[in-house]
Amino acid sequence: MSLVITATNLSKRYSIHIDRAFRTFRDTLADAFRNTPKDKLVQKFWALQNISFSIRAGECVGIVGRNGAGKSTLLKILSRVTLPTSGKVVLRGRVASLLELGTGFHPELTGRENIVLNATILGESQQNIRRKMDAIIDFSGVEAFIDTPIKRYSSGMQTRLGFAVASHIEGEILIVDEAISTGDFDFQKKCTMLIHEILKSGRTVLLVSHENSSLEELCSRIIHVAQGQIVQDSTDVEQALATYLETPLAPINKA
Amino acid sequence: MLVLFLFFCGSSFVIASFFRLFARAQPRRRLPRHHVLVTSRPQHWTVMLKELWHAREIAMIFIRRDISVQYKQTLIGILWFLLRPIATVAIFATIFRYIVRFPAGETPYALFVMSGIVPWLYFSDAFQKGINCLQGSAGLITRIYFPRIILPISLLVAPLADLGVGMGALLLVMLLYGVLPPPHLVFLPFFVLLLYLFALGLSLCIAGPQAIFRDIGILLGFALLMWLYLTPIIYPLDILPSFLQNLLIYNPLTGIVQSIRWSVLGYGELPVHALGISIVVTALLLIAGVQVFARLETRYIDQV
Repeated sequence: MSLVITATNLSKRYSIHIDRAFRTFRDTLADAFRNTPKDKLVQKFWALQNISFSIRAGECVGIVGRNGAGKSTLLKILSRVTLPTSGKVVLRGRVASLLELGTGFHPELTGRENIVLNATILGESQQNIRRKMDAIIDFSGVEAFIDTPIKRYSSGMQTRLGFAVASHIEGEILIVDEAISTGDFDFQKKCTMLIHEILKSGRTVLLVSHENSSLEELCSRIIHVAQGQIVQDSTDVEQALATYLETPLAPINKA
Repeated sequence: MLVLFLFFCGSSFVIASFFRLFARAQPRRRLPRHHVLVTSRPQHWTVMLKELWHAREIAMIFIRRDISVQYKQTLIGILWFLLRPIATVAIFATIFRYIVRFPAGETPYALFVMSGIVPWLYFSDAFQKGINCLQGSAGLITRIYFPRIILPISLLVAPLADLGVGMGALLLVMLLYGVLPPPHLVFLPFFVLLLYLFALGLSLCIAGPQAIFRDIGILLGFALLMWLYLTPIIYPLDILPSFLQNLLIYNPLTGIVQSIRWSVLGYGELPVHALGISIVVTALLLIAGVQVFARLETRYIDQV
């Protein structure tokens, strides 16, 4: 089996500016002339520390960890929405992702226009998009509002549409960050079935979820992240999930 | 002039080191299609160009979206966009015709002003859209990846439609005055392209810092207001004392505006010297802008 994702010594550091909602040039200039030590103004926080792993084609990897453990940062780097501070990732294939904060939709455009925009960004040709349009709309189940601007959609409807697009394009890697759980029971079942099909066609899926039952059903491997590091990486899904549940609660945001 | 040049070089060097722009890019690599190496360093420029080429359809969608939003109700839409240049021209024409009285040779003053205001309105629109391109699309760029440089490239195209409408209106007003455009009207697209590229170069340089420090935009609002008066738009260049004329030539917009005026109205001569400066400055801004935009990516992407 060929490797589709190789991550080597991946680290991500965020700088948190204390007491500042956002940075201004004025403040930065003023700080430069002040004697306050820099570490009192800026807090460095390592969201990921030296993470290395590789994922083979056709694997379905579940990523678990408490809130703030670094799961979303990891998926953001794999989706190229943010860049690592050090280390490297090699991606061998197109990545379609559905990140925690919702999908990359433009609020003013209609559902249909957003399907075209999103699928084009994910690298699909216009011809293919036209061909798949009906299937995508059908799967999303929002036909009635497909020509309404996205800003009028509920979050559940947006997720449905986002998942429909991401899962119907022919990318080699699908990343889903907790998104499915905003959908209703019926939709979650439909997603699970579709992910099974995607896996059967040899594509790779990365899932973040707090619902162990769906991870157990879909995944062939679990990566457990805590405080920016991988604490467990195993193909024994049941056992890994059990260990994850037993780990004591660690405080969030420890640098 | 030399002092000014050294001052600019020095200050850009200081600013560049402040933003740590001298970081090295990734070495050149040949990877199969859809294979990507992600590190903290910006990609090699050949890889960037390749990505940009594959993303041209995204740019087309952005452009179509912007234009259709602007001209949603066609008739009212076009009238709306005529309103702005005409109102601006009316104000300036009234003030400067009856109060200050600029001599514009044989050309009616209203035509003189309008031929400068139309490109200026494009520039000020494009500049504001360009420097805010990252914040304006924050919802998109924090959720999905595409070459971000597409944003300024495509956002600056839609205001060109307004420029076209404005130019059409100018030609109509010229006919009303009985002035016919000279044959060198055919060069107009070249000057408009230069104006687009100049606005793009400037946006690429400023969009990144603007996304990191929000207050840069406020400063630039003032700068834009001053810039209007430092460009021969509402007054002819030759009424100024010669040392000011020689200075204003180094404003890249001078060459562009004067050339547009020459090609549409047949006003004056083609300002070869000023145009040359505009072309050189635009080229330098584009080269610097692409670098700044790519190198700041690691920083603005987490701060928009």
